[in-house]
Amino acid sequence: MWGHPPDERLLDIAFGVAASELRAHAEGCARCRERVDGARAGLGLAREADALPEPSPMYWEAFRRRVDREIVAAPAPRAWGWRPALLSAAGLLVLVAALNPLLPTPESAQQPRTLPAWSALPPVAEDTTLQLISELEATEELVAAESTRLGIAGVVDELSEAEQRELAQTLQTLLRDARAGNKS
Amino acid sequence: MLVEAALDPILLVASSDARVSRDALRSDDERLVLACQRGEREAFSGLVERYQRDVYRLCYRYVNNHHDASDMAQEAFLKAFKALPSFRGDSSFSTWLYRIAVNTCLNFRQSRRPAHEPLSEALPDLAPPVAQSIEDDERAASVRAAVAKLPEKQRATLILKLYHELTHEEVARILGSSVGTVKANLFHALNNLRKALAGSALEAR
Repeated sequence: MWGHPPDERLLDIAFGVAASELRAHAEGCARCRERVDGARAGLGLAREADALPEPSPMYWEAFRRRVDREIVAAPAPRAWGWRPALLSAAGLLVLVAALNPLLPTPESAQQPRTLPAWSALPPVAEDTTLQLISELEATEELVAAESTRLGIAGVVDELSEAEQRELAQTLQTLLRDARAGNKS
Repeated sequence: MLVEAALDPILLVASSDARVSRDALRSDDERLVLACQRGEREAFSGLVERYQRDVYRLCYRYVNNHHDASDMAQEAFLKAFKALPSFRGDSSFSTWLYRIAVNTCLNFRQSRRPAHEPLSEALPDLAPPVAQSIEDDERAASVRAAVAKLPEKQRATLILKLYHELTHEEVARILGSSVGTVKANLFHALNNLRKALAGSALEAR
């Protein structure tokens, strides 16, 4: 054998599970023997503290109740906590896209603005912009919590590839619809 | 050799029983985890009852006192409950829970440095150890104190491998390292433990 065996192999010797060639080396090598003996002594010492002071059975009952109380007080974890945040993010994008033509540009700022006539607006029930605003309001609290914790980029990072694809498709569809709505 | 041959079938049966029992436990864990993920909070109590002793003992080895260990164990379970929706079963629930507990311990110690662990701290609500002399208690307390002062990774490795009797592979999964690293860390931990207690009455035994 060339050189000294690595520490993980020396551990095998200390635990008595090393191959005979390795054991033979450690027996003939003062440096390795000293380290293996040290580990064996450490193992013996560690075993001195196998037992721990054991709390009473009443303690475990109290412990469980304490954890239960904390859990009841905690908000229920959401398996799909990212969905409201993403829906809102998508809604926000669509809203910006929908309102984009109405926003003043440097050129248009010089000209008198003309707002669309009320009669040209779609009925309230069919107005997707109003629906999106409604969804945004409904998920405002959830978005605030998620955004504080992760931020939108963090939420997206947590998604699997399939979920990211699904999000991209949803955004594309919503944007396409919004553009189509603007043109008409 | 004859004795070993005679024992073989018994050992096989025992090993098979242990495997069946482990599989049953894992399957039961999965059932409880799925129930929790469906929103049945009371299912989590079953998981707490099953693992509270293991998590508490792990924490106790880290901080070497009952009150902090109790707080940390509770914190670990709360973290696990909150993170349960993201648990996908890539590892066993126990491995996942151990990882959360170890991280809780590491964060706790970082926020409490320098470690201050009076060995004489009373544990009024603890039952006295059974059939142990005062000398044995003092010896065990010295070893626990020395273990609690080992470097982080070495301490985690030693506790999980020796006191929780996990395999090198399981410890590696919990600590997010390789089996080789786990074994090397354990080797250093044992040597450092001996050095820490060198010259004490312990070593003379």
